[in-house]
Amino acid sequence: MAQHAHSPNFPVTRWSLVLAASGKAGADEKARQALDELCAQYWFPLYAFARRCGHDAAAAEDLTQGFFVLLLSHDLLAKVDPERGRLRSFFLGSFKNFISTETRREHREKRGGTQRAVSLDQARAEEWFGVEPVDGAAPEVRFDHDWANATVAQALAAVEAEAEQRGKGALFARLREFLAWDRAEPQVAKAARDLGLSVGAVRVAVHRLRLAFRRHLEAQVAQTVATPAEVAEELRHLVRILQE
Amino acid sequence: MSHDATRCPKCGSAVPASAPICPRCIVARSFAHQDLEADAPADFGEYVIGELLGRGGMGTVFRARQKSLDREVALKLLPLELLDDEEFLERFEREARLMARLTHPGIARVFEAGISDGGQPYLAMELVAGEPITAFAKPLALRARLELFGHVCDAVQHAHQRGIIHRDLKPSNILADEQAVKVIDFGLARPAGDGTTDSAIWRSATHAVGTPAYMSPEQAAGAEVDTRTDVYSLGVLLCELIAGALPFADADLRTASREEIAKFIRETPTRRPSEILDATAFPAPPRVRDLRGDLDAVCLRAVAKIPADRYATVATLADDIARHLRCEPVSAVAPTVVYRVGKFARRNRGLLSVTTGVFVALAGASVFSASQAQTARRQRDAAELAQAKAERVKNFLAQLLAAPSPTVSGRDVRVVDVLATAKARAETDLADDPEVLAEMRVTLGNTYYELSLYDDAEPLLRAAVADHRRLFGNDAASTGTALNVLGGLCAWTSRTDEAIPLLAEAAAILRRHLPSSGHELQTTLQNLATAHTHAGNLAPAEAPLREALRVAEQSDGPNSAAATSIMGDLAGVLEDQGRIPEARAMMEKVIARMREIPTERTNLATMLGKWCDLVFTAGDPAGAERAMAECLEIRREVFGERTSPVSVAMGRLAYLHYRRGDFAGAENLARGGLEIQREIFKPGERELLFTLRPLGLSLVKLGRAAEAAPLLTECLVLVKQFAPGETKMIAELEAASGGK
Repeated sequence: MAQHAHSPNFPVTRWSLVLAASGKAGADEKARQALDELCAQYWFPLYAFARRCGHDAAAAEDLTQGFFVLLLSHDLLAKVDPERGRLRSFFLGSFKNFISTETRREHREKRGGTQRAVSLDQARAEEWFGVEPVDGAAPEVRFDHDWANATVAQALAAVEAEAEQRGKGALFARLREFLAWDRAEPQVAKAARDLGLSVGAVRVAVHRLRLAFRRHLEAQVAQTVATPAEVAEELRHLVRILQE
Repeated sequence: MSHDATRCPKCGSAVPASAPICPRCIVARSFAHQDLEADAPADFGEYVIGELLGRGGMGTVFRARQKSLDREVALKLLPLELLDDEEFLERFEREARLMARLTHPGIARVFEAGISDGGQPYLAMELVAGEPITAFAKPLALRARLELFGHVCDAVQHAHQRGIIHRDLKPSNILADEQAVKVIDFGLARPAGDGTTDSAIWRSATHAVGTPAYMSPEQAAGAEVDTRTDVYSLGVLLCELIAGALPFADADLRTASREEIAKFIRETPTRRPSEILDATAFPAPPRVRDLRGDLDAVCLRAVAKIPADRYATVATLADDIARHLRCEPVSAVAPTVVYRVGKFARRNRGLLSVTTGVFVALAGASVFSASQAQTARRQRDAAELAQAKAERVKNFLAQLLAAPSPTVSGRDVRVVDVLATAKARAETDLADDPEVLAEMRVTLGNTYYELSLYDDAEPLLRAAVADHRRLFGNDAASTGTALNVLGGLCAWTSRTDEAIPLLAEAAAILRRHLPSSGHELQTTLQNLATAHTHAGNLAPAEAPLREALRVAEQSDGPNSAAATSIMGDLAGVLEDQGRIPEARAMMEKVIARMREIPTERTNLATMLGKWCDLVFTAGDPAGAERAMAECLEIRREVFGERTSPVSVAMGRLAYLHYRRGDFAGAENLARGGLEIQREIFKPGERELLFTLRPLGLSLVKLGRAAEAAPLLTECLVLVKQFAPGETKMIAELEAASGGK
């Protein structure tokens, strides 16, 4: 990731695309689509944040959707400083503002509270949120945690998609659990038998999955920052948040 | 809201319901091995990792303790990039199995090889004490260095016979101390030579090692490598040991690209050890002349750019070193009479004491001088003067014989000591008679040359040539003789560019003095042909040989030993040029004549062996069989029954029997030969091929496939080892193995 950060050819990421288009009249279609995708990927941390701030499920959904409507209409984006800012901090900061404004005015209906900007599975959201621990941590800390989990999930999905594309879907499905294992001698031996591979081959396959996961995680993080230098920093933040 | 969050069974943290696996653990594991090479884990499964022993492109080596056996090992963690190569794992596991069976005192054991839980490939190896061989060798003299090198060759050959190539032989992989020399890091975990995924070795080549000085051209080019890549690396090491410097001019390749390095290795001319001798690398430096000749030739052959030009095996390289140490002719040098005589003299230097040998040696020298004196006499038509000079030469030599006193020095006086005295005294005592001094210089120079003391010989001969030109003129026969000796020395020490004009001039002079210069002209022409052959030019070697043949036939007679031996050389040159019908006709004549000459028995057997191959290829199996039967008889007579040449001839004859369907006869002969070989050879010797092949094949034909199977397997291993290019032979053996 370090060499990535120094690369002069930092790829055009979704967030940098969004930032580039911000403040300009007339939304660039590409930028709009990019923001759409980002919202689809990171809605849950926002929803969970609203719930932790004491809103019920319906209110949390309305707040999240209302925030996205505002975001996608560019009213909010115009205020973003394109020089700095990561998607994560921008989302959290803007969402907090949005919630406080909405709550104070208490006229979220007027903002079009039933409008749907992003497909948001209310039932699953509550199911996921239902098992969130109540550990007394500040909602902001939990937001970062949820964000990190969402990023990991995105990266893992990308690894799976890639494996399937290469006809190794079954191998991935069988070995996925080992990504989290440190020592798993009997399990590795069993997996090797199941797959008809040597133990060494299984370990190498797991090693390759790990490399792929890292690659996708870095790519995923890169989509949410504006400059190469921020990739490493954001990744470190993600690792730290998860270790806490 | 439920508070029963799913907890990760490993880290205990809450796992979000949206996640299939604990994100905390995935991230922790995925980033855990990131800097493993830089920062080894203290605990590594069965091993507790200790201090860092070394770091290179091919991995990082730590001292470690194996818990279950409580022993110290060298644990090597291999670069993770190796795993990017899909075929790496298969090769790694296969070689690990082979290595585990490899036990040789000169090879560090590999205890275990595997992939850790974390996907880290590793090797647990015998922990070897000692320092890099070049550092260890620093206080050693030349001979001890050569003996040390021989041990390394034994170890590498042992591995080669078991199908393992080292691929990265260099001083840091060969550790020596007072007890042993051990090759470490054998074969394993090297990228294949396909050139696509070996970034690691290049990293080692350009960063850790400094220069890829030991890498063979084919390896540098990313081509397939075989055991000869190790022969090359050993050749570079040999040069470094005996000359204190590498055979290639220094170049800073640290920042060079792979292509630049490959080009450098391919195109940089190889330097002879004798040319680059660095005296500061030795406590008692060898002399240039100790390296010139044999050791130069051995090194150059080992580091030939094209694998086919190198020693086919490490064993043959080691054999040449051993021969050199015993003062026997080495195979890297094409034998000539002068060379063999020189070798004989050197080998028997101790015997050639004043009381016995010196007399013989100097008697020879005085004959030589007398013949020169004769030439001079004819030329100047001053018989009496020449007679007086010859007398003076004789007296001078007689005084020398009496000069050194063994009783005073308390030991036998060696020929070289006598020569040194002679040289010194000639310069003073004969200063008043330049013509005698000139002749004496040729005599002494030639004697040094025959003793392989080229450094002493050359200045004397150069001075002698100048003397003769000045005193007797450029057309004098004696000038031609002096030029011939000097040219022969240049050709011998592989300076063919210098040798060819000297010898051509000598021949031109000597032609004008026929018939009396016949013998001298004949050796000049043979030297000239040798120089051309050494320079790699077969065609220009033919004309001088043909002329030498005519001269020999005229002076010694058409059926003389001299003429016959020149014809044998000529047949070889023709065959090498692919002119088979001509070579065949000539060989036929040579064989017929050699049968008549009692002193040519050994050469006759060799010639019959060549003849056998030639006529068999030409579709005359019966003729081939007759020739081989005769060859066998002669070898029995010359070498004795239970010897290697006899066993090989028996095997070759057996194969011919097999080819014509006489399987029982073939079995008998091959079995007899194999019995001899089992007595005199260690397993794995190349010669076994000759008997194993016909025996195995015949047994299959006789319906005894079970008996044949182990023999065919043994044979296949040897063929692949020693003659990997013999695809037909391999196919034949594999078909027989499979077809049982």
